[in-house]
Amino acid sequence: MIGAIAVKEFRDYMTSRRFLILFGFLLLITLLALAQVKTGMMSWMTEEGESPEVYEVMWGVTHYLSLVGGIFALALGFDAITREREDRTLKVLMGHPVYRDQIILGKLIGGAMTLAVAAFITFLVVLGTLMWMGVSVDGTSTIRLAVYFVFAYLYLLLFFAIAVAFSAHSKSSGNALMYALIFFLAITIVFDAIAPIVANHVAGPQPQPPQEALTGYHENMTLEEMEEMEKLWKEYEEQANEWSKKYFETVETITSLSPTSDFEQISQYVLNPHARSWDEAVYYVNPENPEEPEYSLTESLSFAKKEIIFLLAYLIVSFVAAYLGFVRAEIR
Amino acid sequence: MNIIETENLTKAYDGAVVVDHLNLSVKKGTVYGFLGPNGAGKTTTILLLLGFIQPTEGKAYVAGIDVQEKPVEVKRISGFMPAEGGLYPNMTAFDNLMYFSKFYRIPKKEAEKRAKELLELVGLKEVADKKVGEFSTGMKQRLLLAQALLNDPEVLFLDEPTNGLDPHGVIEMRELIRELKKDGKTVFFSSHILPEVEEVSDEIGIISKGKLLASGSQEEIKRRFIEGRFIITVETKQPLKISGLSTEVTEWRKEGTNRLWVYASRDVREELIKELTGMGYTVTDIHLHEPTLEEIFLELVYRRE
Repeated sequence: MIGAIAVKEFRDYMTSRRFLILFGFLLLITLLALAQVKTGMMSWMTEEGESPEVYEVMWGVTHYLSLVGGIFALALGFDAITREREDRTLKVLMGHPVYRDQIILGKLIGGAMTLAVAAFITFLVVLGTLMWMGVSVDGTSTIRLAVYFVFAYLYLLLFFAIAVAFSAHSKSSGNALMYALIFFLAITIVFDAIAPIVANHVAGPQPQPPQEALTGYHENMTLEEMEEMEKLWKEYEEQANEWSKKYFETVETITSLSPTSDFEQISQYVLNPHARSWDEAVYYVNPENPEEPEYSLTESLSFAKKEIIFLLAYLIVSFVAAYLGFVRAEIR
Repeated sequence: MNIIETENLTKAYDGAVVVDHLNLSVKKGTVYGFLGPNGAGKTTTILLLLGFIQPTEGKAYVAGIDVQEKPVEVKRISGFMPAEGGLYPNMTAFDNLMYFSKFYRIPKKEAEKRAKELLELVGLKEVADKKVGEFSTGMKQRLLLAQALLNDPEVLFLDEPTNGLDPHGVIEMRELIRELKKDGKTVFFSSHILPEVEEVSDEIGIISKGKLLASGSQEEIKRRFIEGRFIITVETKQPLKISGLSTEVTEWRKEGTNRLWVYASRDVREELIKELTGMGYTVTDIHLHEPTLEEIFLELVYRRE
């Protein structure tokens, strides 16, 4: 029965004008982002005589995909339940021997199937466009791109489930769309905005370079004075590193509450084999290893495990919220 | 044998009682008309009987199945046509029926055959491949009835089945209900239209403000209603000029010059004839007035408030 509902939902989505328009727009934005980044890069890449890497071009796509893709998924799911109420089909459907959990799971699976098709087509279009644009695409970068689209799919699925949850809890489609959009804007903007404020509060005042060390240099310095200066600088560096670590850890923790930031962070690691945990680079004033080696995909994924866990947790919570919202609702 | 039974079935929303200690008994194979004004609790009762909503108090049984415990089992043997129910407008009439048939695990070929039969039964065979979005209200109502019959149910719950239908559609719907009864099905249908209920029902339940005010066959309801409330009309040859009656009556009034309406707690026809004859009148007609269902309905629902 779940299968029957899922197949109907999938067919409804795939043949709906709304899906075709939104998906067309998503593809267009993705291609425009690719073209924009590529055009910007060509000016200096051609001078160097190299082809840009996939990750160098895709960072621009990620930003647009996280924004437009999120809205695309919300627009697909916001009336999943309310439409049935408004069209008065819910009572007819529930007059047949079907459990409520079968209905909601069927709807979620139908949407998931639709998004899977959308993500796969986008992957193929992006891959083809990258090749056509002359971006260096090899086996490894193709696999990384495919994994990137798996996470893009999970990201879309998350917002679809959030929209369905709002639909299950709302009385009308208009309300569900409004709540879902407010939620989307809140989690994409609020966390990024409050992160530095909270981090400043947590880390306290930023340590300043020692004044004596800045003004106390003179030509006839003794060895003791030099050592004293070095000691002051070292103390400053330690304090600055500690402050920096506390500050950026707080920022990272708060922004990782935003699924959009999580997706962007995961994308960075999955697409770029040189990207690693930025701990060294951002926490310490003088990173010891500025050169990034090439990491395997497994290692890259391990760098993003916190963000992956957050994304999956969000996904599970959204599914549960959608499920409970519908199962507990009274149909009058 | 009762196929529908409720015991003190009660439903309240935010403290407001919508269905109030309802005790219903519907015999198998009958057409039960559930009559009541708008907002009386008819739809809520049907939703309770099908397990859409949980009762605040009491129990409901359909074919012996506890609705609260096994709502899906009840739906397996029931058909439901909701008031102003909707169908999927982007699908054809045939596809709508095929979709709903999947919930009964009917083999595809059998489901196709059943869908075609039902479309013929409700007179939609010619438009089977037309999208429901293009259907008129009457056609949608007929398709709603067809989807309620997919599983060849024992009990049919029809909530205001003639809503939005033109006079011809209303007649057709009544005919269909009669046909279903002939097939041995129990039909529980709600309506606020009295003649409709009167015409097709074997038994009637009158509900108002969530309370069942009367239930039974039309005759039973009338008999119970007139118990202790006798209304007698008398006609005399001569114009009536009386100022009082010695016969034990609760109320009397004159209508025109020769007719008298008498209200009494028992049948006082003989005493009345004697008294009037004693006064010198010739009684040309006397009979016990039998109230119509309409009068009973109006009295129960509106005048006793």
